[in-house]
Amino acid sequence: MPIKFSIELTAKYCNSWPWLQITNNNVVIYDNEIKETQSISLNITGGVLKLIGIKKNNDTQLSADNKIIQDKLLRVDKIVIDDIDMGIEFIRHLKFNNELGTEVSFLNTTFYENGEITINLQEPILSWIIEEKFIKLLSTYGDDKRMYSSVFSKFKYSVLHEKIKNLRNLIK
Amino acid sequence: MTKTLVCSIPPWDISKPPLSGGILCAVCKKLGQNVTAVDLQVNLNKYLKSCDLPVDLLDDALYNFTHEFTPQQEKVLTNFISIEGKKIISGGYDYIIISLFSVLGQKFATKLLKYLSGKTYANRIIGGAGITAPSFDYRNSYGATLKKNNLIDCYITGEAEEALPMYFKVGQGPGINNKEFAQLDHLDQYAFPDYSCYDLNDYLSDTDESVELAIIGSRGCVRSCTFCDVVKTSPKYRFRSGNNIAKEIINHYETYGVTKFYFADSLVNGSDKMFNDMCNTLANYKFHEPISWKGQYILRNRKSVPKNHFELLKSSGCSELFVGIESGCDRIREEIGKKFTNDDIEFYLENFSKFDVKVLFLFFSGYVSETIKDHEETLRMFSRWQKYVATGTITGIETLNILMILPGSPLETVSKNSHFHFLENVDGSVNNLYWTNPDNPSLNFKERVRRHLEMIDEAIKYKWPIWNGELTLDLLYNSMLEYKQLSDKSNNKSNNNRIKIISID
Repeated sequence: MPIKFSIELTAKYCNSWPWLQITNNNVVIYDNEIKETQSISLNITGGVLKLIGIKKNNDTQLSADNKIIQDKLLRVDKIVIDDIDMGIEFIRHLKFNNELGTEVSFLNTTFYENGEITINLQEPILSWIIEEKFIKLLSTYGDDKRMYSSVFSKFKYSVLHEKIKNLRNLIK
Repeated sequence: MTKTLVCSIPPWDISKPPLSGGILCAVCKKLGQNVTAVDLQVNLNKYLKSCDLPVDLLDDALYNFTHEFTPQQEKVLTNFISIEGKKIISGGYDYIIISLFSVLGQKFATKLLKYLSGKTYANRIIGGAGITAPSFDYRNSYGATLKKNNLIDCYITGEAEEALPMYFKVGQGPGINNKEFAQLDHLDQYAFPDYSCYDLNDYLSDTDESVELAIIGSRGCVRSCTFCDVVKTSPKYRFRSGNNIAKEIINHYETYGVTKFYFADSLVNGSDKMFNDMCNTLANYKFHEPISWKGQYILRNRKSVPKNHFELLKSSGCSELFVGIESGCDRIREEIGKKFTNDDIEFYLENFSKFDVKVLFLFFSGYVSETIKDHEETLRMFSRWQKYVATGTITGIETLNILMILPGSPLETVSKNSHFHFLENVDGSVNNLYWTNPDNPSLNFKERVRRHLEMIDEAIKYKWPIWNGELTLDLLYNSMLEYKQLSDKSNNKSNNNRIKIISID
């Protein structure tokens, strides 16, 4: 089953428009410049999806006192997979790798320099979406400490499995 | 001037100040009393943190009747109660009103009241949902047990707005040291809850911009679901006008700057007119910053839902609803008395998703007539609606309830008419949790637990968020232990009877 993938982007011009290449399992499925705000919809398959943002080295204009007066940027505003909005936190927690191989979180959701972000799509896709969008992010933030007890966590599946096992032994 | 302390007992979710405390403060202030409020859950958390101890250190023993305190827990709790007890005694109050939100608070309340006993001249009053439930001695209600043991001067059942002033004035009346409380009518006439005695900053987490306040817009329920005993405590459904509720929300916003609200009603939309009026007033009020509210909500047949309903919900500030869908099987839901189907749920989910309203489902497994086929239909719900978990529309399921035949519920009548079999407690009283329906004999407690586990397994398989999952499984485990013990006792008893019969023969 193909997976529906769409992305909304905002581009800023400087000398030329920024470029976006998308590969799916190493096959280029999109390769074009992005102008203003743009939405791209593609059919993809599970596996590795790479978003590669490209700008050239001279794409930043500086003033005489070295202040940026114009810069080429490419911002990812929204990612939708199988009609499900992945949310801004998912985008912010993607890993951005620049050309030198340095990895940082994509917190500004913007390609300020050449580099790529990678999404490893796994099937079944709905379970993968829930894992990426909620479970991984919750583990980043930790439990909600306001509650009077820690038992309010929603995704402690390993703890629940253990308790289910104990109960099954009891009802044998 | 009369000095009164309003004291709220743990456990309490400290994301919001206690609604009952706010109501009691308003009642006493209206009578001209000098009122102070203390939330012992807030103070307990602060105390534990100050001792570098986890805030849930006491939970397993404090809120579980079958768990004993460890020596460390006992010491910590005794110290805390001694500190708070001394503060209460030195306050020189004329009245100490203890508000017990839940039965889970009984252990704490008993320890506090024992500490205060003989050390204060104050008149000690207790009320709240936790006092009408059975106490540790199983026979009397908790309030009556405390009174019998001279740990309190008075317990108040039902709603405090009328009973409390009556107690101050004449010392007796409906709901005062008895279960025969009078229901309030004309709810618009009572003062809004007063939170000025609380430090609202105590209820803010690091990430919150606003504290959340609880609102109660109605009492009772329009439905009469077979498993529920709300009809016993609130036989008649009563509600405030929509404008009055909206006015309260606006008042809290203007007075305290609060933007988050939580409805503590059994259901927020029991009356369509009241609900629409409230939503319209809120949607049209010029808040400087958006407000949001959450609450329990009933689904109806999709054909009866007005066209602009979901838009109005959203524009009034609705952010999350808690819905008792109870089962994934239409036949069972119909039998329970819920008047909607899985297709209706689908319709609501589509619209909740469209208007970004979140929903938490409440349900249980093992209804008295549930067959394996019905159970399997419930399990299919998890794959069917997984996409709404992925969109974030479904924020979780809560399966905390294990079906108990509650006294006063319609199921109690069914159980009598159908001659349900109940296991007995150690003291010989009936245990309402361990029932067997002769018309569906394979669904004994063990089978109900098995289905419950299968349901949680399925929820995990489809990655549904599970609220209170650990607590649910702990309760099931403890109940299963007790069930085994009581079953053995019951089997031994019948064996003995058989031996006697044989010997007589």
